[in-house]
Amino acid sequence: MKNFRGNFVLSILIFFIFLEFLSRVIIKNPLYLPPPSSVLLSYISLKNYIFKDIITSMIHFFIGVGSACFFGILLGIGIGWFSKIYIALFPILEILRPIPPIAWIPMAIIWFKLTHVSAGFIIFTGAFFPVLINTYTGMKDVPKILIETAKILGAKSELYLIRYVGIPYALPYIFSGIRTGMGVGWMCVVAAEIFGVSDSGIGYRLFQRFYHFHQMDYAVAYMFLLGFISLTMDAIFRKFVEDKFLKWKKGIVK
Amino acid sequence: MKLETINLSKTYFSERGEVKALEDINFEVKEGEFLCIFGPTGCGKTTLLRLIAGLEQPTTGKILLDGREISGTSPDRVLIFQEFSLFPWRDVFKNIEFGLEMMGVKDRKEIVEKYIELMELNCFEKRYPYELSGGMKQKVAIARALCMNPSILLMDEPFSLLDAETTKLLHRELLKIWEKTGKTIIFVTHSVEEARILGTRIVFLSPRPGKIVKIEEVKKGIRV
Repeated sequence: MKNFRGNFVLSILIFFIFLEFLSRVIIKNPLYLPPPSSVLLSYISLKNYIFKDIITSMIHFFIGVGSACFFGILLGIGIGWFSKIYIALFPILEILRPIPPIAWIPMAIIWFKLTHVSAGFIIFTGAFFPVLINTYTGMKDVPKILIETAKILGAKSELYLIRYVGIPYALPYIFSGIRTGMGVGWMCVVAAEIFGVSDSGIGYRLFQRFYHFHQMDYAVAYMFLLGFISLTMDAIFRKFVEDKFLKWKKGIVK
Repeated sequence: MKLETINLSKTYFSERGEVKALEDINFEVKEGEFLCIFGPTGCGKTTLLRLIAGLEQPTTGKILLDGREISGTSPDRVLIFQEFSLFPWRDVFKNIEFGLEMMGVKDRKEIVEKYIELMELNCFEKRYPYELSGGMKQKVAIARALCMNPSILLMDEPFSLLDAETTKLLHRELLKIWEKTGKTIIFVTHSVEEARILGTRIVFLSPRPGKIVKIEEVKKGIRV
């Protein structure tokens, strides 16, 4: 593990030096490739709004991903467990699924105006399907023998079977859906903030710096910030949620 | 409790035609008896057990428990499967507890501990199924079934996935438990030796469609 961490730092360091060299010696135009050192320095001059931007984006993110988890898990359980719900809803979901989140922007503006909810909705459209599909897969794959065992041991109704067999079995799937959903959610943050729902936010700032000022070092600084936050959240989720609830899974507990 | 099957038959209908699994099954099981059902692979032994458990409905005929026709599953007739059927997300204690939880029993700890003791599973309460050997898993499944206090225990080749040594050991334990609890057991097997070791009576089934060929009493002397 220690070795791994060392390699990790080394790999990034070499990449950093390589980019610095590329930018300063070969390309020589910070607009095309801002040198990493000036990207790092830009964090200092960005410090006045960086926290506000993070908080605004967090609000958008949690509105979007929160509702995506709620509806995705609920619906996923429904279509995964009951074939009638599946037959009724599957065609509709399959038509909606390939629509990219950006394509929802006009609808979002009409439905929710220029509010945080509007940004949240764009993130929702991206995060919803990974959660839904994963939950559905988990619920559909519950082994018949476990359901029959539960029936034999007195599970009285479908509700008992869902609560005591379906959901626990599907939990690893649901978690991986949430993780994928969170990842996609962060990817949608930029799209959610470029149409003027707020005057702060990571996506807003990123685009504004580029669009109005062509400050590429600032833009790149925010690009990395996005990646970093997404990575951190994923790590936190893995450590505090998955490790806690999935102790029973072989391979997760070492 | 007395279990009785009357003109029981089961036919499966599918697109490729119908398969007769069981035909005219008539037998009865007395209270406290250890009945073995023996037959070659594919003769409908498992189907018969699933009918008794209430997981499937017979095509014709009926099953009576103390004169009353059964319908659906009931904690009265607990089936132990051939495959490992523990809930992987529950540790040993919670697996055994499952049925009691479903029934809404309040003081479960004592009952569970009693059967952990009986099956000699102490020290394993906190283990998850993936940490258990095959024999252990089936012992937990037996404990889980017993703590429902069923009047009939149904076992579908529960030891067929285990090695010979473990099987022998579990045979002895099962007989011990049967003597201790006096439960009625219906045990399906594809090995005559196993049937003779365990059963007080053996029902022989013919290959598809399963019909009763003969019913044999096992003399006490042969049993361990």
